[in-house]
Amino acid sequence: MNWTDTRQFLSPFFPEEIRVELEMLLPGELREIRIRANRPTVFITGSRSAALPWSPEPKQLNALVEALSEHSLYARTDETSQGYITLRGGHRMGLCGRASISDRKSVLSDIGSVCIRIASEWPGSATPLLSRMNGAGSVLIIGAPGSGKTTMLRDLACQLAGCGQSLQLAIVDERSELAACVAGIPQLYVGDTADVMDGLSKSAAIPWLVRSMSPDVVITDELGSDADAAAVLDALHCGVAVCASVHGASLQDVAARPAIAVLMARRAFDFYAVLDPQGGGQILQIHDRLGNPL
Amino acid sequence: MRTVFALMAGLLCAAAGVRHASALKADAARLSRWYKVLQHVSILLKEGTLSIPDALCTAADSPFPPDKLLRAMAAHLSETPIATLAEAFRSCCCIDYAENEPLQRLFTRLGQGSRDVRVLAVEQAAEEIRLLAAAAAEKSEKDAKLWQTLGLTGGICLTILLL
Repeated sequence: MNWTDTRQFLSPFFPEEIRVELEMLLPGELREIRIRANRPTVFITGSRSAALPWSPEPKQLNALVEALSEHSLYARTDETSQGYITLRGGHRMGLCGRASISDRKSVLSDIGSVCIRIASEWPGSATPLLSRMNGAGSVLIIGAPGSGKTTMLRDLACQLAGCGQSLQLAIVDERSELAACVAGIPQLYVGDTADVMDGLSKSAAIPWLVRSMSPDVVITDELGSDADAAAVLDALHCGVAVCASVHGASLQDVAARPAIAVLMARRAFDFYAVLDPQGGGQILQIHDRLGNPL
Repeated sequence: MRTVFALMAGLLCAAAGVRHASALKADAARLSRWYKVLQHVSILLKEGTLSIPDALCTAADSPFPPDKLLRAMAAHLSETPIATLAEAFRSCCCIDYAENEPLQRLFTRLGQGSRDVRVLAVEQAAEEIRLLAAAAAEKSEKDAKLWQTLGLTGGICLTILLL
């Protein structure tokens, strides 16, 4: 979804004062919209944050969330119990407020604040990685929240699909952010040779895709658990390359996480790319499989 | 001239009775349809695969007034995304019917809470409407024939009197 589509999608949900600000923004400028009950709405761009003159009441905020989910919030408890829902176009709406535990699931009953993260496209951001990969290779993209890990993975998928080597890609999109599927069909372009498994956990989807779609490369977002690491190792042992991302500010940070430490100890990835925390899909540093800077 | 006038007065009286009888029957039929539609909506919400406007459209698959209203509400929500279900109902329902109050309550509650809460709201509204429909059916059965007969008898008597 380009900026015009994003603006057209978001504008009807907001009052005039917010719509005017949306109109003035340039493509790729807006990163987040933070809306809190009884406090001013904040736009966050790459370089600044601006408080806007709209402070919704709790009732208005709940109505906004309900409307942004296209009145399907009741049916998306799997997502809301994890604290977010994915909007049309792949934008992610993080939710916060009063939560309780019911049936071993966290249930959000009153919404106090919302963070809408705008999905963006940075074509060519994965080119430095691709030039080192030489076809199907395994890469771990490391970045802080908002640094552009998902956008980089999406660009990597597009470039791998179009690199002329007929690589078959399988995308595991647990949170519907990479491809923003609606009814199983990707709404964001992820390459012509990509099969997308939407909504299933990585530990379940990776073996499924390796078994059923025989991909050359599996692409997935935000590794975190031991089960994710085991699924990645399983795919690598089946001869399938894995391109993944993980939260972290540096290689050292990531190495301290038990699940990722296992992957690093097994030399699972050919490269590690650390992204600039300022965002924009800039690669700060590339490391080889031993962790040495290149 | 007098004959024509007498016949016209008689016909008007009969038509008024028949019209009232048909209105009673229409009320009963509309309420009965609401009950069926709400039962369908409840099943769709339990499945939890459709958004609420889609569930309303799927349940409203006939040309009856409740179906038309629900389709109009879904269209309103698509045109005005920030509108709530209660606002969409207020905006699309312009006739004062007996079921408006429970429906207004339903659409206010349907726009918030967990799936269970929303399903419960639909089931409660369906139950309220089932009772209204039963009362309307009983009234229609008893009163429709009476009004029809009264209208026709009154019409004939009036015609004879005027002649």
